Amino acid sequence: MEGGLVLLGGGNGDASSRVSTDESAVLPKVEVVSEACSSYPAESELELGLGLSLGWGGGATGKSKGANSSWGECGRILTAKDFPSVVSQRTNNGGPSGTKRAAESVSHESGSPTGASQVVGWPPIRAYRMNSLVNQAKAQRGDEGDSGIVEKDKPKDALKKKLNCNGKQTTVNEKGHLGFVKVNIDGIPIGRKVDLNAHSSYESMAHALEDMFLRSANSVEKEPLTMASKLLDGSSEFVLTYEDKEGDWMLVGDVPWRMFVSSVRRLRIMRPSEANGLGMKCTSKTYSENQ
Amino acid sequence: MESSELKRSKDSVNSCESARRSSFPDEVLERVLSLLKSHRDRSSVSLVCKDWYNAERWSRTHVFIGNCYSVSPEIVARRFPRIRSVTLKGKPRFSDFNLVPENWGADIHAWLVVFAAEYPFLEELRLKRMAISDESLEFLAVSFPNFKALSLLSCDGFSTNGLAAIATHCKNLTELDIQENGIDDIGGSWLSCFPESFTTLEVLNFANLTSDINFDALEKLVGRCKSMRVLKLNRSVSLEQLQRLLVNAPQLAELGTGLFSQELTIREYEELESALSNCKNMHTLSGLWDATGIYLPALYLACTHLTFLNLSYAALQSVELAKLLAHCPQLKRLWVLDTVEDKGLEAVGLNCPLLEELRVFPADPFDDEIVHGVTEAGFVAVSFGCPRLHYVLYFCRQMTNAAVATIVQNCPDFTHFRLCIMNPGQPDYLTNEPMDEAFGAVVRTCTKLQRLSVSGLLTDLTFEYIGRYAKNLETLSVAFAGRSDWGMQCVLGGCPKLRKLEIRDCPFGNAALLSGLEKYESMRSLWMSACNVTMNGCRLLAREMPWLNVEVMKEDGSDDSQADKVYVYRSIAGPRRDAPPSVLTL
Repeated sequence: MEGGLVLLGGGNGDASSRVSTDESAVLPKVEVVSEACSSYPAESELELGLGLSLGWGGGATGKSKGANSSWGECGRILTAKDFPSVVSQRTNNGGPSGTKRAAESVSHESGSPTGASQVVGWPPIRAYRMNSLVNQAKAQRGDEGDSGIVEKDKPKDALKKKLNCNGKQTTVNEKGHLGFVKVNIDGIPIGRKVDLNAHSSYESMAHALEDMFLRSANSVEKEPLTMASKLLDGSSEFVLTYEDKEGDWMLVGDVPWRMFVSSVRRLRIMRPSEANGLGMKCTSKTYSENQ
Repeated sequence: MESSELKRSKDSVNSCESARRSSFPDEVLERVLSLLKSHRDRSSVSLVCKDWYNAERWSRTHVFIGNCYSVSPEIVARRFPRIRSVTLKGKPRFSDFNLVPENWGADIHAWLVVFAAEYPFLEELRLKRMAISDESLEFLAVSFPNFKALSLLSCDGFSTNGLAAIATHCKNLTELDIQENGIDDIGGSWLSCFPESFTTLEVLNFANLTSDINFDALEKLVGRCKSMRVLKLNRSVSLEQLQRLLVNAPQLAELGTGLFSQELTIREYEELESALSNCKNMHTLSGLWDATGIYLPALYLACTHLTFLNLSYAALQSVELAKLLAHCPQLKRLWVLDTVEDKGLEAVGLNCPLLEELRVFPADPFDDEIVHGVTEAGFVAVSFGCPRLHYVLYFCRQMTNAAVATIVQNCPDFTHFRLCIMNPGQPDYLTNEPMDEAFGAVVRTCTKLQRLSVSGLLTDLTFEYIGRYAKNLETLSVAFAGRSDWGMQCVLGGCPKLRKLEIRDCPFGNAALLSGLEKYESMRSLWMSACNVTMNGCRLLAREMPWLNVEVMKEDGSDDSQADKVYVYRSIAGPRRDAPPSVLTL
């Protein structure tokens, strides 16, 4: 059907060409305009006016809601379908650039992190079970006389307290005994997680983060740990920040490592322009003092 | 036994074709075939020859209909005159996750009307994902004097008033099993509708309901139904009330407690513990809402012969679970919440060598911020300790290819492998690679695999593996995966035993859809939502395959040409006439 459609240059792996051949053999040609809405490559700046309707080379960009028939329109509502392609972009540097399209469009348009919580019917848990969980959480919060502060920690603390009413103190910290905290980097909605228990210093953690975010997945060489992390000494284009227990955002490295580990809730790798107001940047000398 | 008898019968039929009427009476054949229980065996038998077809249809007493729209009640009644038990499944499975419009269909009423006329002696009705109204329940209650067993799983459209009708009118009821339904819970008075003279109940499951029931009525009911073997209470029943019930029903084989949290005196606790331990036949335990460490020990003595423990409504921690499992050496099936974490699962591996099924549900599926729950380590730990594991449903936030490879090496007998990495499209968190190799390992190693749910970042390679190796796969669920049509084409081109394929949010389009033309007739159904299928592709499919019903559900505001949700299924009843306006039949 959409066999008559012009395909995006450089954006379609073999699969798409296979598709279009099949299609033109099987289906009558159809007005192409209405199909253009299906995918909005972010390189749309370059390729406005073209669109691929079916089976592109990569990425899990499904149909887009709210898309209309205008050519090369970028204004579509992002759905969870975009996420896999974002991740695959980072992991599949050599892959079909079809993946990149959706990924970049996501990075341009999305501001907030997205994950399992924003997709209809996902994770696949029966409505009945979800209602039970919600009722359970409500019951817990109700019992604890919650003041209504909408902190995500609260219900879990309440639950844990209730479960330990035999008087034993548990040492489960707010992150759970795994020690994982979520890390987001500006420009990519899906975050990663880093296990703080696996590190004993800022340098070690920063190197891990750099490996995770700022290097190609296939890179084999790793800088020796003795070299100062670019993230920490200010020579990187990014700045490492964290949210503490009180909800304040701070520059990483201000406090001793142990204190940091016990108070950090999550991390964010920011662009310097957004890090204004977080205080002076620390030098690497400060880090070694604080370890 | 059955197969050798059948073989002999078949040989004798074939060898004396002309004399068959005198040498092999139909009654004998019917008698032999009546011993066949499996509906698949019966389907095979009915294809042998005309005589066998007839003998089979006259001897069949239970009919299983996996898709209520694949056949009409009239056709069923015409073919099988002596049915006493019916199992019907309706909506596509993704309706459980709110992906199917409210009024989609699968209403039982038309079936009941035909059954009332053709099967007045109907005894059992088991429904899954059907719509059933209170009027239908009342009609059921008064139309079938011999009615014995009603089981409703994941159904909707009814309220407790309908249950009241069943309780009031079904004098011979042995089973009332209400599970995980969208029921309108108006109040608990329905339970008081069982007459004083009523004593036949064997199975009572109302765990689904939330409102208070009249405990006095329940206590009397349990007291006079001496054959009761399954009792699953709802949250409103307290520990103290549980104890009173158990004292009168020590014969229970399956128990679902109510709320497992209450202030008890020492004496009350001991009485509870004693009542529980007196249930010597108990092999299944569930309920346990809000169970805490304090009262779990009351269960210890009752767990000795336990084979199925459902803790999926109790947010236990690892230590509590470990202590409990030490008393459950016979456990074969375990359902838990991921609050038990990897340490809890290590305890599973250590204490439950006979374990065959494990389900780990997320306590907090929508909280991305704080990480907790289980990881690949927990799953691996279970696989080392439980080599007989063959059914797994595992919700987690991280997984690696290496871990899955280890798991299936330890447990090669998987028949059901359902892995849900909750963040859509997430790669192997250590190597950053897609999870292709994980599922490749699963399908290569687990040759008995019947059901597979995949997740995480997956390219078409996963589907190449599935198509190539999963020879026994019957059900495949895919979400946020694949790169191109090729993936789906691999599955449709391989997997000879595929019956159900459900796909959401994948880049599969018309080429993929149309590559399975012949395949769909050997399948029960195909679901594709939020993929790249268009209306024209669906129309073509419908045109080419007259025995398939092709239904498209459109969403508000979507493009006219996109087929947002597609449901394709084979049917001998033709297109259905009860579809709501949002469902287009092509």
